[in-house]
Amino acid sequence: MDLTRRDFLRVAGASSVAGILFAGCAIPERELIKQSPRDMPEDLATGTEDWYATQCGICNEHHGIIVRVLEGRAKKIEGNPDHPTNRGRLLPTCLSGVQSLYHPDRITNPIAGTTSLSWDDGMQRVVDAFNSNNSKRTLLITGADTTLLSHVVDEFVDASGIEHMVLEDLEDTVLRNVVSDIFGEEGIPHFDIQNAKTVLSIGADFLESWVAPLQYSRAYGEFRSSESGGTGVRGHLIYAGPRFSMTAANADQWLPIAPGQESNFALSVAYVLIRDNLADASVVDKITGGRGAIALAAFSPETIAPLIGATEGVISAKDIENVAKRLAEESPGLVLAGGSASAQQNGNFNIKASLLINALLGNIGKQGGIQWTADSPLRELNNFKAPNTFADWKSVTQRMDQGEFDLVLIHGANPVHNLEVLDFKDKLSKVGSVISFSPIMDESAELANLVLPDQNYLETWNIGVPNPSPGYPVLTLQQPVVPSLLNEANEIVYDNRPFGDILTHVGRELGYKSIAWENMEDLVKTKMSEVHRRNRGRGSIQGATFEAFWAGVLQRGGWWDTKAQQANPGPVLASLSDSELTVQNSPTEAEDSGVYHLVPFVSVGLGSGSQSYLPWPQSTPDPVTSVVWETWVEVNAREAKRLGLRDGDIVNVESVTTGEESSVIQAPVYIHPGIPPNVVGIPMGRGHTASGRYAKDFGSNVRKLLSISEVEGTGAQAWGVSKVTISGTGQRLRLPRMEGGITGMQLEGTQIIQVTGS
Amino acid sequence: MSDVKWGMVVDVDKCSGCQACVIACMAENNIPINLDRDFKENRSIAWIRIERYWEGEYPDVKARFLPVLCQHCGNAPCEPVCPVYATFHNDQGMNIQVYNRCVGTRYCANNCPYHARYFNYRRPTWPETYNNYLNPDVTVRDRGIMEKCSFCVQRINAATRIAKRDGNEDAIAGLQTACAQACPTDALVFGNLNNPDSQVSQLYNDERSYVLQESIGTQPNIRYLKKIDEHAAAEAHAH
Repeated sequence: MDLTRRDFLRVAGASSVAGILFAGCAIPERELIKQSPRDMPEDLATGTEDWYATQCGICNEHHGIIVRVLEGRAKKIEGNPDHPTNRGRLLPTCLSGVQSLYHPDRITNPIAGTTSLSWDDGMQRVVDAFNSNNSKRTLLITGADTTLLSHVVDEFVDASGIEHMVLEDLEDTVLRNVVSDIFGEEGIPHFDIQNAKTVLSIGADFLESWVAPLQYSRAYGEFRSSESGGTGVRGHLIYAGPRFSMTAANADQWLPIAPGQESNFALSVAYVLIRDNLADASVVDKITGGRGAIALAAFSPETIAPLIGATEGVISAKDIENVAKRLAEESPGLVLAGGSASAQQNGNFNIKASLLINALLGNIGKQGGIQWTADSPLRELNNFKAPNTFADWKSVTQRMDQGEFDLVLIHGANPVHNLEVLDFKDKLSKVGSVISFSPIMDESAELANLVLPDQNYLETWNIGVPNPSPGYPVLTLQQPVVPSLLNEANEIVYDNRPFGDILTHVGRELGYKSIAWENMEDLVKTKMSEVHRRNRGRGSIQGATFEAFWAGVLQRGGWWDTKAQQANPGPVLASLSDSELTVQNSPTEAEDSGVYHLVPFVSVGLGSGSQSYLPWPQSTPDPVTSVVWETWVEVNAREAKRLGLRDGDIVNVESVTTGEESSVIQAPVYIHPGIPPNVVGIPMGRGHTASGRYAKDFGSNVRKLLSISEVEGTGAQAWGVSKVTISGTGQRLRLPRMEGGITGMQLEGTQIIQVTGS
Repeated sequence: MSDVKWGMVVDVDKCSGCQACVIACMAENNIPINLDRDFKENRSIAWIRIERYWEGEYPDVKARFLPVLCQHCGNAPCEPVCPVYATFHNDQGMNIQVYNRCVGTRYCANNCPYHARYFNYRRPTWPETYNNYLNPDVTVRDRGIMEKCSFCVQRINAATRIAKRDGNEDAIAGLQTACAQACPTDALVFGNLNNPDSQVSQLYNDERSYVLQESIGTQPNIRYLKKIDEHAAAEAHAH
């Protein structure tokens, strides 16, 4: 029987008849498969699609993306399969770039207060501001950035003599310090997770927030694979830290270590390695001053295990012995450390003790270990200004308060939100003139007298260096993939300009000779021609002429030389002093004291706060709790029962860190089966009072509760020592969660997720 | 008989829970922006979602992640209950939702044991500027319509047409769904189950592979690879 579409609909409408009829005949395939508009050209005429390679400007990893462009509109961002650091893969925040490009609250043109300005007028005002203010009383604040734009900023700062501060969203000061102390290397090395067989992460949430989560997630996939890549064996992951994070959830074993006890744990592992002759003898001699295991005898697992558990009895001596043996026997073993471990008073030592295990395991410079990043082929992209420490920010806010600055310029950072604990808003309002380059009216831009909106990364030129770089040089090219969006009257909707071009223009107007390029496009081309000249015959693009090379770089999304020689590691420079070899016992909060260790964290989908103005990151469920659009307080299930708290009860969380001013936020409770009873976890990223319709008034800002003390010897913020109390408000709300009102539990008998031993 | 049968294998052991697949799917398939109210009312839409299952409690606690999407069942419970034949499965291994037939009875969602079907309770709205990034290959579903994972049918159709036009099967062999393409850990593998050399068909028959809620007899074209956990397995052995 031949059935047309019209017949089908008519017959299907005749209910009971249809039932009988269809039992006897099959519906023709062509009737059923047609549904995509691609096959309905009368409804929709789509243009030709183009794909452009560029770099991600949402996260700070500077990996490669490709953008699908139709009729001048960016339709979708996908990973650049050629790019060596992400190989076509992405995280949720990176995919949300199109929402930043077409954001409904993107500032459309320069504004001063409530007045719209032309660009000529806006730029002239910046020039006038520089002419009328003393450069010694001018401060430029930028976000952490490893791109060519940093070079433009550096040249501008040098020429103008103004002060420059770099604000890092999540401070990595301690990690950089330790790497420099132990290995004498600047910057963050490449941790080769992919080729390790055992990974011990001490507080480093490398799958969601630590250093470069996309690079590490991709490596984690290989690490877990026994079929392809990696070591051919499924890697084993152990996580030690006070909070049950997404990385901890993925680990084969979670060791709930109390905050501040990380170094004791690490040295105990080191002791076992040395005692059992599992460590590199020359490194043992170096770090113990030739004394060997006896130097670390105070850290025997039997002594340390009872001290370090988040609660009593959760860590046994056998746990520590097993970790050490596994690292040595299932080699290469790799130790990562960061997160709350680095944000304790003794954070520097926590990270030092942890990373020294890598040296003991002999994996420095080896596959599956710590490798040094190669120098970039461009001198300008080698030595980026290190982000400023929390101590620097404390001092600069004081100076603002004392009226030491007349002009502050802000780009790529939102210090009013990030440094709420330092009352940055109050201090900034004492500055005579503030110029912001934010494309969104964020908390810092709201205080600006003049806003010159920066253009989106999908519309501008730049060159980025992945952070951290793999062991070979990589340059990611950023090119405009779409023209400026026009409205029906052919006017530009978002009349923004690239920050690099603004600085260049202002610098040239002010007569700075060192700013010799016309604009970012010109600078990018000049720099790529240098790469071509110096690397002829090497790397991913080899062109006889610059034109051929340039075309290749535009198509592939950058230049990299995966065959470049790995940099050789230097000797281990650090040793352990006598005072470091004494067990430091910082007391943990007793289970029923009513005081909790606060562990702030970053949820993978939302990020640390700079992406919260986008609706996809806001609506991406936190993997562990599935909460969206809201800040929540993770409270241990048994502890919540003791306190009479239920899911969604709104509590006051008050900071009670000794010797510091108290502050309070309100947020709903999430009943958490995994967090220790004396710890509460609260995610960062929300609690904006501005930053557009998708950020404003969603959740609370946990940064307000963080301790302002510093990690000894570094100036980094010791946010991990923050203590809080929680008390009910009598109010509650329905927690917005992907999983709804019922928490998903594995049921005995019907295992939804089946488990096997190998 | 078609020589293509699309299928997917989800490696639970590799899934880190990062949600890249969730957002990649939203970007590809014009899924409406889920506001907080949508979650509070259990009316959010995500063709693929990462479920998290708790096991035990502190300190012996586990949280495991499971990506769940339409299982593209060969014996789909959603199909016989649809009064207007808006859902059916074809011989390419796909369970298909025909939007312009759907009258919104929601019987199919009721009958789906995987909760993989989503109903548009409201007309999807977003700021006008966000129309610019909509995928022109995918219909925007209106209020009253059921929707679910389509295995990125628009990509399959486009690749099939290109392969036919050029007489080259590479376009089909390299085809990926948006979720599998984004996944940083390679936990999602999509491909042709009829091709014995494809990665998906090899993993499909891996000794770790299992079917979600197999006892219901839905015969899905998606299989999962078991989570590897030597500790849990050792404990189970001890009991």
